[in-house]
Amino acid sequence: MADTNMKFLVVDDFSTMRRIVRNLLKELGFTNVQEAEDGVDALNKLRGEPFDFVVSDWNMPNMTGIELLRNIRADASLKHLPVLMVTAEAKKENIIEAAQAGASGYVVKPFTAATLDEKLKKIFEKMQK
Amino acid sequence: MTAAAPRKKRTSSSDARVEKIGLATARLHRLLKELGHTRKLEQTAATMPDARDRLSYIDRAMHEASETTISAVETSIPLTKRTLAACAELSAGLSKIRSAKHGELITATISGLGEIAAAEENIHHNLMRIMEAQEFRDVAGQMVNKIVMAAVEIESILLELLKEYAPDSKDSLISSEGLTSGPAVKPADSLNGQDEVDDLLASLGF
Repeated sequence: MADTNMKFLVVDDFSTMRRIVRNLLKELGFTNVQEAEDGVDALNKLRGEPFDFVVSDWNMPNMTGIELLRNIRADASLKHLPVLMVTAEAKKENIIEAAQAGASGYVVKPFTAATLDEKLKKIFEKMQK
Repeated sequence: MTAAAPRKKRTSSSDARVEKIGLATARLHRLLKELGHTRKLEQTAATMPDARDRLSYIDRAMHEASETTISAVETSIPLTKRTLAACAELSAGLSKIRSAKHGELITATISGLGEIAAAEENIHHNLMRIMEAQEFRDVAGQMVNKIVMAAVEIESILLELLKEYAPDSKDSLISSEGLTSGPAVKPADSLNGQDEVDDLLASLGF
């Protein structure tokens, strides 16, 4: 079982969506959650303090989720971070692009707490290996 | 003087081209006018700001509704958790009591607490579903935004056409209502909430 104290960063330009993800994480026992409204904001926060997990939307102004993912993977101090993409982009090319850029998981909106739980567990399992 | 001849020649040939384009434009203009298309263009362009306002209203209304819903769910979830904990605690306490006199009542209460807890679990599950359902706002909002952007684009194309083919039409009026104004302008004659409605009614003597 994952440590419920782990610190999450939820990245989405849409405040309602951040709120929903925060609540779903809380339901799964993760209460240490912070938010960022786009990739630029997220990178600043990630470089400012330690986080354990990133949940990011794809379509955002300033810096998209995929660009954020590439930036994280290119940064020596951040590249180990698990990044779960949570997005309405269900196109094959998007999913392939995210996988190639090093996404740890991919959840398509709309989703439930159960789906989120399942993907998180999968990522935790991989991390322990 | 030597340079004058070729220059004059070039000017006259481009004059002819300009004249041709001018004639074609005038002809197209006349045709559009005869067909009544400038009027139609004008009408279509004029409906765009209204369409945009309505879409923005829908977007705002959806946003407010889902925010209110999530707030209500957020305050309700801890209540269900508290009730569940209280049921478990009371049941555990009651089951320790050995009483010949109130034995039946205790059994009935424990079973009642079990039913309340089961119902509460159900409510909790449903609250989560209500929360998850609010995700529609994200995708629906993006769609509305795309349509608003398309409306802006169509409006500007129509205004361009109007400027070219009907420069004397109410072009300036449309652009001041259309492109320069922001989305969702509240009509001057509408009121802001129940308080203003009540104030107005009071001022009218109701």
